Amino acid sequence: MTTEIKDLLADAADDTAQPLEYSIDDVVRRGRRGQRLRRAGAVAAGAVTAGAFVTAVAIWTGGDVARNNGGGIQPASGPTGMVTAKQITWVAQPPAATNFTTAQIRALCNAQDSSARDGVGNKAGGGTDPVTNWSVEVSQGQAHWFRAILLSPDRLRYTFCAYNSDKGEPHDTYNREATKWFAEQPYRVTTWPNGAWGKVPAGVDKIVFELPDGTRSVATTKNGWFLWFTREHVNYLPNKPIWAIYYGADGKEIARFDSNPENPAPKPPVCTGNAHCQLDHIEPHQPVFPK
Amino acid sequence: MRRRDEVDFTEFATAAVRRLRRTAYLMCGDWHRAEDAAQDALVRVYKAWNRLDHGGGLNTYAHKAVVSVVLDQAKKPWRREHVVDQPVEELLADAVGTIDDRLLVVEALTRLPPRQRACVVLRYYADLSIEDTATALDIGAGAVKSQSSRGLATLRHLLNRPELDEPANDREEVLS
Repeated sequence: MTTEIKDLLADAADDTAQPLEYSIDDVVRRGRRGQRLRRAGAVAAGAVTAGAFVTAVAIWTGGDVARNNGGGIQPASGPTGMVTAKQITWVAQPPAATNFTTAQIRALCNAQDSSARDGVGNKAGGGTDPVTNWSVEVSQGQAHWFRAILLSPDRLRYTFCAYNSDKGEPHDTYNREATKWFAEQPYRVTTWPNGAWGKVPAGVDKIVFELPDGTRSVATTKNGWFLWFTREHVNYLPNKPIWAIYYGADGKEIARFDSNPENPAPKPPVCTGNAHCQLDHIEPHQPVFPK
Repeated sequence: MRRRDEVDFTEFATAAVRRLRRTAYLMCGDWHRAEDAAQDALVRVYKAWNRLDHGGGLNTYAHKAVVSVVLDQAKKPWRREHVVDQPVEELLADAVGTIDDRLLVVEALTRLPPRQRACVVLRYYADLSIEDTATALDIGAGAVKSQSSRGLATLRHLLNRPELDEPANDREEVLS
């Protein structure tokens, strides 16, 4: 009888232990934002079309002028123009955090962990045990600061921890959640104001981050994790992509992911207090694969 | 959207969100994805609010949106679903009852092809009519009947719940 199946389905969908992690206000905000973007897109599309027309006319006119000035030289077919290669500036990443011992990193991260356990830094699946026996998988650092990924002994949880005893960038940051998110969402990275982190997907040899101004850095990779640091505060780089570009051992691009949660701005306040909600700030972005 | 419309939308969304999330969960078997799907579906409803039939089309459209979002998620390369030819015995309830029946049901649902799964969930969980299910899935009523029938049969088989006395209306639906 279908009644039995209906009952089974109803039982299986029991969500009494699954509180909603966002509010309807969040949905309304996202909806409003979508409509604004759609309207803006329509206006922009019109502007681009008009601009393209004007540009095309100008270039063709230039061709005609060149021909006229050239004393009978045949113009090149189609629009002409100079293409300037974008200047790429490579910036080295900070070295491993040698100014802090493993014990110090664990202790300083554990101090942040204690205060973050009940806040947004403690994410679904992250657990609540101290991180004082977790392994430091990868780190970056300078005299007064470090950034590190710590992994739990069962390898199911990790924490990203940034500590700065001085002023300026990077700011103290703490995030703790289940490692499974990375397996479920390869090529996606988690971005925090001064950079990003994540797991190195299978088959990836190198990860390059590219800022909107063309500045590139090779992310620090170790033990299957990566860290990328920037002095830029990514929240102040709206509407432009910050690409995480994944390369294979053969040097070919495997995928790229726009790691800038502020592209497009503003960031939709989807929900708070949950790992998946936190991931949602990059939810609008999807990895891009070469054709 | 006008303020009055937003109030109406908020009222609708508040009433619908948990049911949409549960529907999405039965479709994908993951509460986090279900949460995302329900939210995305409601955003779609918001954007389409002014052109929807508020008489009875809202619920159907919302379910259409949530199913669409879940199936779209599954198409993504990093989340691609595979129907695994796993021995049926592995899904049968264990003798000592240590495995939660609810998880078995969800696991069994994931074994159904997406279209069948959607038909079963929309028909037998969300209680959509054949016509509304057809609208939600952009398929014909006949396809809904056949897909529901096959999905139901497979589900029963996987869950070791043989068909008992089928009510006349169910049989008619399946055979028509």
